[in-house]
Amino acid sequence: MAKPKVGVWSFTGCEGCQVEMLNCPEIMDLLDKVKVMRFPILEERDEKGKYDICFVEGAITTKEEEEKLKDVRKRTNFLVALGTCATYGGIPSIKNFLDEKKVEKTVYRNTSYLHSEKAEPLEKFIKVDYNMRGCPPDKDEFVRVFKDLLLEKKPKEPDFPVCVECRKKENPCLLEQGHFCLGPVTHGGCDAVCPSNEVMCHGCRGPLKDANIKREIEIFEKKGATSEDLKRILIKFAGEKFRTCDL
Amino acid sequence: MTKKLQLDHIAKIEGHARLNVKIEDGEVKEARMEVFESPRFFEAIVVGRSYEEIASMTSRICGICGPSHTTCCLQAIEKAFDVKVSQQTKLLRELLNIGGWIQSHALHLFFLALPDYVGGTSVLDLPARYSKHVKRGLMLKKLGNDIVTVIGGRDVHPMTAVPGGFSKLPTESKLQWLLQELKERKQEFVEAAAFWQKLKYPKFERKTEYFSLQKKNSYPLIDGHIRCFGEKCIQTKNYPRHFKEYLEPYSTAKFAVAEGKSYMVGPLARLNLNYKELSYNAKRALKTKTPIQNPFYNNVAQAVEMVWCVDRAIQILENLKLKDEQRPEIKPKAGRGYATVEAPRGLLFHEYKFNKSGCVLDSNIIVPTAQNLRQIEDDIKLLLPGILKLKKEKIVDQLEKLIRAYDPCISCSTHFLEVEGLP
Repeated sequence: MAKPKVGVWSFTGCEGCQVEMLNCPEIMDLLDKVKVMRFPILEERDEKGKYDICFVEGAITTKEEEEKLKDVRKRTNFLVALGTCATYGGIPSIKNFLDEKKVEKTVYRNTSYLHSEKAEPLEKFIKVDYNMRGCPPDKDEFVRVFKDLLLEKKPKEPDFPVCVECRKKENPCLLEQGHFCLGPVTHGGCDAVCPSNEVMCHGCRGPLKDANIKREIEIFEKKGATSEDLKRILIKFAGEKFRTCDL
Repeated sequence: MTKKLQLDHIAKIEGHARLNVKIEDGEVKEARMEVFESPRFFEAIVVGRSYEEIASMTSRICGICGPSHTTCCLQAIEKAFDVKVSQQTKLLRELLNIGGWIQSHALHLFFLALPDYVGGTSVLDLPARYSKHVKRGLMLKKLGNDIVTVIGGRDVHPMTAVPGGFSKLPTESKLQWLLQELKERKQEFVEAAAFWQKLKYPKFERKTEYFSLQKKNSYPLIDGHIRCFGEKCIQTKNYPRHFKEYLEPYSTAKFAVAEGKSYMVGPLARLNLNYKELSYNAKRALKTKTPIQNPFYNNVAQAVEMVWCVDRAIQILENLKLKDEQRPEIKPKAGRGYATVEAPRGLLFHEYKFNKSGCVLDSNIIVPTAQNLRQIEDDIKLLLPGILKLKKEKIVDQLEKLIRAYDPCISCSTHFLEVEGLP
């Protein structure tokens, strides 16, 4: 049987997702089982032809990236959005909520030859087959999804909040302690790595489909969050999604 | 401060770099590093954010050197609010950054640069006899990951380093385990350095300015004054005055010059300026006399620094008596804070202006790659005339190899380089 053709694509982001892929202890064995068509952090080889599986990291910020992404989608059987920039726009998407011209001027004096669109998730432009959330994504999840795909099994996205794993680890509840922890409304599957290190959840894996964000906001307000605080907390990794309800 | 800036730094150059060379009558008229990476406007998106959250945000500038950005940002915050951190915090931050250097250097040496020296288009199709070196590279990288994970909570974008100290301290048993691992693997680092020292490098020497931090009795990592050859110290707060940033119409990455001239930062600069502060093993690993003026030796410098990293990490871990301590209280106030650290690729500068409640009004971040870009261009202008007679592929290979030796932020060093303007 021919080895599945796998490609990795990188748009606007920090490339930490690709680094995390390489950090998986079993990565070399996994790559051995497929035909790596392209993996930008390691090499840029053939860009043409069909792919069985593609991992796409980074947000889409320009028209060229959008076109490229659509082209990749057409040639890919199973497409994984890798990491928070790809699934939600990530940290770069904070600028979507700011005045674009003002933002550009803050960092560049002459903006005449500079053009930047909003930082958008892949799903805004194409159908995504699996959203691998997280900044960075979880190594175990990556390995599980990769193996599932090799076995031609459809991988399942975690659909429980961060609190599930957090409680299992018997961590003290940061929300109860007065921190504006987004654990209750955020996709789990990260083994609650931040709360386990006494850092509140910043929602890097985005809100669960049925998350009661409104209720979470009420709790934050009761604990003294101002509307400015709420904006800062909700507009970070997945601003567009967390801000579904009006502040 | 930001008003003086002409270039965005935050747009890292990783991604789409192109070299544009202009040759007339056998003379190199122009060499341009054109960077198309989409800007992410970090300096703008931190505006209005609290001092409590910006370190975790600026870590996201780079998936490779998150620990450097985090540490630099935290130290700038602490400077602004006159926060004194404990000795223990300083040592743990050192460890975190040592882990970061190992992660970054190992990735660059064994995954990105190796094919330049031993053949093959990438690490995935190296000649078989080099597979043991790749395996060793993976193991060294894992050790870097382990250090960052134990101290920082996670290997990419670690989260435990916070203003004033750490949200959670590593356990004694994990530190002991780390110490054991480092001691067991130490020899591997020495062998890796010997391997890199033995590879054949193009003969290419030029003089330039080297800048790095310098600190009495220690190899520079997260503090010290900025120093260059024959120059007196530059105070961190004067950094933006000495190192001018500017924008080129052909690039979304910023360029920087010191007193109008190109300069080099990074492992080779550190080595040239701080050789005597290296550990015994690291000194022994280096077989070339400093100062080294060949930029290709940046790779050797990385390998030598990794030996120092292990020695220093062992030294810290053997003497660290971990105690539970209260983080100093942080009282935000209006004002500026700035800091420099040595990121894997060289000098990194963060500066923030805060309002009285500790929210960012203004920021300025200068990353190492932006500082090396002009030097890379200047080196290309020098290197090219000597190799113009070669076949086009050979010329491209050589130029790519030179650019990669600088380890410009990751994907630039791996993306296919289009060279325009060659005859």
